[in-house]
Amino acid sequence: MKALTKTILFALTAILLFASSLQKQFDFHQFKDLRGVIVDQPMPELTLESYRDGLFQKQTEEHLKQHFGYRQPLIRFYNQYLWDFYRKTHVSKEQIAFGKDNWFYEPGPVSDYYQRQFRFYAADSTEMASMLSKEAHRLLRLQQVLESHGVHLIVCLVPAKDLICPEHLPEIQDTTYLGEPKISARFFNEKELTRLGVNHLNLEQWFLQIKDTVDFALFPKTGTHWTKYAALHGADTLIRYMEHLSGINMKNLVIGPRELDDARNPDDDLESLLNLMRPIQKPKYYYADVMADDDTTAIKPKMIVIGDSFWWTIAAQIPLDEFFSKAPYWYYNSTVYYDDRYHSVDELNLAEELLSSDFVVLFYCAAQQYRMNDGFTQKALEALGVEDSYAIMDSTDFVEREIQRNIGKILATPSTMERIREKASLNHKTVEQAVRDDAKWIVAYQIQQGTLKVPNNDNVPLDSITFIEREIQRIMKALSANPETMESIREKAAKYNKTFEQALRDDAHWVVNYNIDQGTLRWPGTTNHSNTKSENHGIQQ
Amino acid sequence: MVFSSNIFLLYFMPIFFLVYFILPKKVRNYFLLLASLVFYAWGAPEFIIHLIVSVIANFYLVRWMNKTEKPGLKKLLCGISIAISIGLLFYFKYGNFTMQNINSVLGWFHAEPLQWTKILLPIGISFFSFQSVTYTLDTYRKVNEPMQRLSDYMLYIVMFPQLIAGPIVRYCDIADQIRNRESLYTDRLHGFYRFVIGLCKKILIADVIGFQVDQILGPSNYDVLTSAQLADIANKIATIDSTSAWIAIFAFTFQIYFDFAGYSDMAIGLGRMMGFKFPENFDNPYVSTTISEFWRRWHQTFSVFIKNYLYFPLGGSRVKTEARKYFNLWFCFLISGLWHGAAWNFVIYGALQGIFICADKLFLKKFNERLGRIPSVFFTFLIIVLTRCFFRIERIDLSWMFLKRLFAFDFAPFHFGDNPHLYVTMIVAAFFSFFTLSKFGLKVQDKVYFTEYNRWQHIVAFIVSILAFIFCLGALNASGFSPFIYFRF
Repeated sequence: MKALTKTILFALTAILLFASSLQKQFDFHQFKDLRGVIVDQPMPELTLESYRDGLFQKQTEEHLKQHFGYRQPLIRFYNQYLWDFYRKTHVSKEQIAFGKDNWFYEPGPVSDYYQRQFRFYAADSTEMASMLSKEAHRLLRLQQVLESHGVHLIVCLVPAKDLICPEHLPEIQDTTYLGEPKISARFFNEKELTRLGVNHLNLEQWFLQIKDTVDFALFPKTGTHWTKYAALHGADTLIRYMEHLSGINMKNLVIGPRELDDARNPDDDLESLLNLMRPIQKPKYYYADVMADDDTTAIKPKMIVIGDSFWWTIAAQIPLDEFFSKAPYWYYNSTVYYDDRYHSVDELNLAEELLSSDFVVLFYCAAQQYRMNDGFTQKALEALGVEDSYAIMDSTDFVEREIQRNIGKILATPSTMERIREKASLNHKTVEQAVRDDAKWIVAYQIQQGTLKVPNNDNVPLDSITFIEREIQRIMKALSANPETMESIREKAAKYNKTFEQALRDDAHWVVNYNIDQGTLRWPGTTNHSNTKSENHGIQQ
Repeated sequence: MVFSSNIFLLYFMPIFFLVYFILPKKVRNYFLLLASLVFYAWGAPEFIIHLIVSVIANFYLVRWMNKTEKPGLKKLLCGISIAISIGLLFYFKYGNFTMQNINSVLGWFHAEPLQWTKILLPIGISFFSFQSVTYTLDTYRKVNEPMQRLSDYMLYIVMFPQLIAGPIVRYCDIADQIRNRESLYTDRLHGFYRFVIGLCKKILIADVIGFQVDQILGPSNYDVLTSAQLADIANKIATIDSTSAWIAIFAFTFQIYFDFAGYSDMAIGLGRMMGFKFPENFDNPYVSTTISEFWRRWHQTFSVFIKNYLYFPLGGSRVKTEARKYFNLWFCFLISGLWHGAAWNFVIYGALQGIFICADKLFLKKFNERLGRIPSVFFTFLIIVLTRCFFRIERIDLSWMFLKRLFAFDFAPFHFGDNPHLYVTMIVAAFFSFFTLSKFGLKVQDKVYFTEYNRWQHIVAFIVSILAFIFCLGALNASGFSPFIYFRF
């Protein structure tokens, strides 16, 4: 009997050892895919060279690691253990900031709440201010040109979780830039766009006002985007604003009876990156069906939305074709969705597209204002044949002149000079350098406070977005020169149902992000951006 | 190929055992040999030819040595055989180090440095070279007859469970098992349980701790680092607070034990599944009351090798003067240190161990006896922990700097919540390291490792092993991958 038990146990051991291979082969059970970006490693081809240099072995092991049976539940099981016992996850700090009471945030907006995010885009607040100012002037110019063709430009500042729900934010750990002049694009843009008269709808400010009066959650506990239900109110407001701006009668959004649910469209995009077995406990959120009213006199305008992922929440819920004749979505000004086909923005005749629309909506989260609309304004102006002749003064010169003016003031004040000498000696700087730094600080502070207005400029140093775009183009060229790489990208494009250009661009974008992460590529005007990561990156598992 | 990888756990191991047990007994050795060559060739394609050629040469040399009646020729052939094994080891492992030092000396005299192309270290060379030496010397000393078949000899040297990181199996311990062994279901099950215990030690303890040690001290292998990365590590060490320094060095002490003991468990378990009885390599080293005892419990097969093939030939303790006796002891540990790596920090490590061994003989052992068992265990453990600085940090100046940081009394507040996973794992590691201080612990260990199970014990062990195996697979794939520390040696 004992022998039989051992034989059975051994047979079971053998079966279990083969279970993974059998699952891989026959796919007995279906599992939810793991979230996050995986750079797929195909099974490599065996050649003498690849074997001798170990590449074949390395790639085979990587391939097998990505493609074995029961991979998903095994990883989820271990992740659940780490989370339950240690509140630990393999998701990097660049992807999720863990707030109080199990609230999750994206690190970018958290950093923006503490007014540090600009540091990823500019060397200091002065440079950031001039970059933002330049973009605001571009927007004004674009609005003027489009309006002359009957097209309305709307800049929509979409609410970000950090400002609406700051009570659960994690404490700031990094004190690197403490004491330096700060700037936040969301507040700067609000002031600047208002001052210049650019059409804008600040949904974030509105959310702040209604936050304590509404009886539904504006943001979910473990997601970064607004709740599905809150997004409906955002969309309704946008439609009303369009009507107000253009004077046309559009259909009204009818929000049906709401119901509390925790299963439908769970608002848990950040949580899903943790790849856990069971969901984190969170409240139920409201969901509602929506439709357009039956106003037969309403007009269906054409709208182009250029924006970030917040638009998905609207596009996924609202029957846009009932409100708009066309409503293509240029995701990060890169890929076109909800058009006749899925394609790259670069394939479009930009001028034709813009001028055939009724509305062009820039729909970026308030904490993403640093992206400068992903280069859209600049490209649109170029496409419309507008030169940057509207510039009245170069802001770099302006800022430098201000700095010099303050240096003069400091040099003329003995008590200030005494203090600066002490500071210089303490920080191992020359007195000249310390004087200049103080003057620079004053200018930056004045810009931040709004007491000093920076004129638009066209000669600021290459901004980060342009820099990245240039790098992407460079890598795309390099990739195009390699037939093997091109073949692999073609395969990838087919596999993921992308256009070839998009797959090529995605690959190039990945390489640029990787280089930045590795520190082999540095952003202009900065000394260290090794902590920076693109939000498009998921965890590699 | 490492044991704690998907390719081994999900493909190589299941397929190997399936085929191995299906095949008739008489061809199993051939299959095991073939699988072992594939196993080695997978990870070290450049060196498989070296390995095969040296094994063949050694086999015929030893056979010739055994046949010849002329003592002079016998001695010469024995010398040549050992020279091949040790020569290859010296060339591959110490070539770079020797040339680097020669060039440093030449630099002092402003002479031109010698040209030298850096060579890569074949994995496992320290282990299979030693096995080869034991074969030659055991045959020379007539402890065993030489193998009649080349395939059997080759199998002894390259058998995959212990090829990469031991245990160092002496020829006399395994000669009979190669031709004659039984693999009962009990052995197969016990072997699997032992393998899983080793896998847990490696993945759930050593890797978790090792990751954090690397975070604090930077990567351990400085050869692959750029000067900027080295400068970063130096800066980290120079500014580390005493709390973090102590945590790091305690953590490393546990990491290296669970890493290496885990590998040995896996090797012994795999061997047992095939019917081999490999010697044990660890016997709760951290419960030692003296440094001498520690070295009898730590990497036992290596200590036995050094004792039999270096210490005794040097004269051991049967020498004319006390000074010579202590020199022999110290020298053996110096060589042991150097065996761990071709760098001066390992020499220092070995020399320090040798000094403590001599101190043991002179006064330390008596001092420890007076302290009592538990205090002497912790005192010995503390010495081990401190000397590990020279093991972990591959530059002497940095090791020294780190030691100073340990005693700078610049303690930062400790928060368990900062890294609960590390601290819990360290507590678990400490528990299992010192568990056998009690009689109960010893009893449990004996029951788990060395006693035959009844039916219900088998069922429980089976369920636990399968669950642990699944858990390890999850951990391995969720958190990345790291090679064994002892692969480098």
